[in-house]
Amino acid sequence: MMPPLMASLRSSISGIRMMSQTSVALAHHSRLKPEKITCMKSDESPVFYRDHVVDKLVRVILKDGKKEIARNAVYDALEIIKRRQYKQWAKAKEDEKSTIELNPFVVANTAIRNCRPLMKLQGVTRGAVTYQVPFPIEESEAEFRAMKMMREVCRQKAKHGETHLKDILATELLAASKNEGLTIQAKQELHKTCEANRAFAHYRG
Amino acid sequence: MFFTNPAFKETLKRTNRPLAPKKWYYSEVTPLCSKNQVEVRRQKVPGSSCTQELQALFGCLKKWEFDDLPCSKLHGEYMRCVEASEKAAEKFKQGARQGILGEGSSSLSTAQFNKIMQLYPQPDMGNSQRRMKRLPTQSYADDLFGRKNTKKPN
Repeated sequence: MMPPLMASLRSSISGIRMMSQTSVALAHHSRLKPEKITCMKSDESPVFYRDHVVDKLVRVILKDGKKEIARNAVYDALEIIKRRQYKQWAKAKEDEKSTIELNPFVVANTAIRNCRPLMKLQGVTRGAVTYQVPFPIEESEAEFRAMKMMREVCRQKAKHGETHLKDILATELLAASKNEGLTIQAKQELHKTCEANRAFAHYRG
Repeated sequence: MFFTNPAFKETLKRTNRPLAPKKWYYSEVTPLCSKNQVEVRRQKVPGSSCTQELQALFGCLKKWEFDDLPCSKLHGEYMRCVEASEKAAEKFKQGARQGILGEGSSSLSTAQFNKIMQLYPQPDMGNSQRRMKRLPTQSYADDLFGRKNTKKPN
């Protein structure tokens, strides 16, 4: 295999770790020199399959500091997604097989991306009245809000009888990746209220 | 002005209302004149809202029944506009704080105005002609301007 040999030769010859631009973009942050050197978090071990969205989802689902429970729930949900998708793939016809997404990380990423709201509602008080004004939102905050909406939906479902978080989360993620489900519905409701309050957009700033 | 003495009015016999209208006195607490400086207050950035892009985004959302995915392009445009306006606002704030004079918007910021007044201060500004001061020859004990009388200030 030529490329790894060339890479090792390059590093041994120059003595400096040379990384191409693409590998820098795709590398885990533990392999790059940070601006400020701090200790790594306990769950950020440099593993090849580390996914930012899945890690953030674990942190959002976290309750009472019980990280193990949250992490196991999310990983089990991903496993359930994989199993269900594989069953579908096995049953599907030849031309439909390529459309089914088997990688659960990709499914989770698309789900969270589809759930991201475009704007948020923030209260602005003018003359003893608090108006709900639509504000623009940053990517990281939009991601968090998507995950929070999903978490609330899962908790509602648990209240209504469904028991295990892994099953609830798996169904929600699969539905959201297809642009269906209660989380997508909640996001669309938010957009509807934003559109209804578009007249107050002038109160921004 | 009274043509007949209001004391003859029947209605006034039963009330304790005063006959003459109430007199209002002006008391010059702070000097009634301009100053060579303006207080620095928070200023709004001219033209910083992205209403056009936002309305276009809402139109697209309504058209697609709030389905997000076809409207990603318009959302991208809106976010770019927001970032640009934020940068412009930062730049304006920096300039307004420093008060750099020169080509800018038609309206002056407070710092710019203060700088101009520093360069060309108006003489004898901030002194009220009407405000009465005790001369060195006059005693402190004398109530020269009736300030101790609360009902009739100067």
